Amino acid sequence: MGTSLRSQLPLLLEVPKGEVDASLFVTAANETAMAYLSKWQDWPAPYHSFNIYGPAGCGKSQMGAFLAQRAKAIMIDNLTMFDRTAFADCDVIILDGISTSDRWSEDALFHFCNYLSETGKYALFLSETPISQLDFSLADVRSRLRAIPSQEIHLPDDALLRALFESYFHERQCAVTEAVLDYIVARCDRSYEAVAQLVSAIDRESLAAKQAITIPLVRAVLDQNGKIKE
Amino acid sequence: MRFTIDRMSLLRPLGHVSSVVERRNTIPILNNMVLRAAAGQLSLTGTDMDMDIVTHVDCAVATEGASTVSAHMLNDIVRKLPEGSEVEIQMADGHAQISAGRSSFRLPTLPVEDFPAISAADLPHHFTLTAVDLRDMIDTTKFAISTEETRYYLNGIYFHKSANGQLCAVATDGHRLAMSQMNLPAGAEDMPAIILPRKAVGELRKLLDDQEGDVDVRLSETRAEFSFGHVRLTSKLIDGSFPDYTRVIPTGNDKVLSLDKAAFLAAVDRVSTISSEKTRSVKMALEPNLVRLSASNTDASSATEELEVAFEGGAMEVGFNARYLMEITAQIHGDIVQMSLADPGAPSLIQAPSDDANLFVLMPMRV
Repeated sequence: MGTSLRSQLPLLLEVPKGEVDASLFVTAANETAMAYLSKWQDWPAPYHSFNIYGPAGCGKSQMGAFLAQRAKAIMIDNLTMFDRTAFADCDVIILDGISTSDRWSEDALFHFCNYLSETGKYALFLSETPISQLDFSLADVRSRLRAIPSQEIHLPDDALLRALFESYFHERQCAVTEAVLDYIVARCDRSYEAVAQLVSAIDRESLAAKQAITIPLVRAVLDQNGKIKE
Repeated sequence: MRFTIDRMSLLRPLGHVSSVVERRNTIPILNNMVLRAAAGQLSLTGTDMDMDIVTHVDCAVATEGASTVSAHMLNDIVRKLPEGSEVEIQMADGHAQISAGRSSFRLPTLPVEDFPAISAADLPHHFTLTAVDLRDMIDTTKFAISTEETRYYLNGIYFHKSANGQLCAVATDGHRLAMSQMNLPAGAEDMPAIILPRKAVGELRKLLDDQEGDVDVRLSETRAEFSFGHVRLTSKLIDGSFPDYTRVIPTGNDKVLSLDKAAFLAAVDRVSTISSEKTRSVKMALEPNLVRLSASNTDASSATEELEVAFEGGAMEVGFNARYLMEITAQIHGDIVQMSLADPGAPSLIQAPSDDANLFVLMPMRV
């Protein structure tokens, strides 16, 4: 989506990569996950944990931050070695982006789950796929993660898409009309990442053309990227 | 209120104030300027609600007082009076009587109490710079201000303290960028980064035309005030964030060519005669110590011109908008233009060889 349609190339005067918080907009796509999040003290034993999973950009980390503001929490994005003293001062541990990558040691996760069971502390696991399906080699880790309930953040519905587009355009100080938003929402790819990419492409095209963001301009961008669905 | 003043003395401040006042207003009082005569001086005040101007001029005051009258009408009248006229203005009973020689005009007035109060906002940041420096910064950057209204945060010059502690002015329309820097004046250490709107930039620049002294600058997050000579101009600022422009200034462009400024300007101007009005593109084909400028049009017309340059890099072709190229080149101080290029799709850096204070970034065109 990076190539302009015009012969004049624009300067890449982009705002820093948009940090729009999808979790700020509660719709059918994420309301169940948000409901579980707000009842964190009810997460079931033995691990007092919950797994929220969903695609990149759906607001998982922001949900973690939301919980961190409401509980005595610590947020980590890796666990290569288990050290119980690191969690001594918190009630909730948020594991952001858990996967089978090197950032997460299986041994450490095994000890971490036991630690949760032993201390009654709470943990929120944030991941792109359900942690019950993560292919760890240690059976003890797999079984522990399978015991943790989970909730998916679904692909964005129209209401969420519209709110996200509005926010991303606002972040970029781009004025767009309701009609333009309606046009985009009806035709764009229904994914969180696509929203940011499309807004970036439209902004860039508007800058190259020195034109306001209008339906013909949006149509040209969508058309160029093969995403138009008339 | 009654005062007398010679036409020439009145014409300049009248021109400045009426320039700020919009020609079409739905609120009648906004068509007017305030004239206030007191203690041997006439003060003139105008506003467009975003920008206020107050200017003073000596005059012979017979009766002190204040009233408002149509700014553009009074300016047009005084402009058309014969040179060397002595103008007498008398304002009373809802009318202004303007007399000079055998000419006489009668205009309606509105009460000065109806005129919007000029903002006396708190402006905590104060510094001084010379009119020459401010004029240079504006001249170097003004041409690159965006005129596309929906991208409002680019509709002005971005004045701020740069990372290297300089006072820096930047303007961009998304196709080219102009930057001018000077030593940070004392008092500007904690200045807020501001975007001065295009209209205020234009008015300020006109006012600075014949100024040689210092300019007092007072700032807040939302307003800027410039005072010098007999003038005080106050403007609202653009409420937006200027993009991180430093990311688009290239630092590693290794194809550097030096051109004679006058010869380059003239050659681009000549060759671009052929370019289509729509694109105005000019192609630069670089070879060792030679640049071949060319343009073509859809009607099969074409033009080429060769220029000797100092360039030792490999062959490359790159296209630019001819108007952008000429506007930037015209702002280069000195006789030599240095262009640093990377590839035909990357931003070019243009500056004078020994001038680190001013630089320009130009995006190419696909040709």
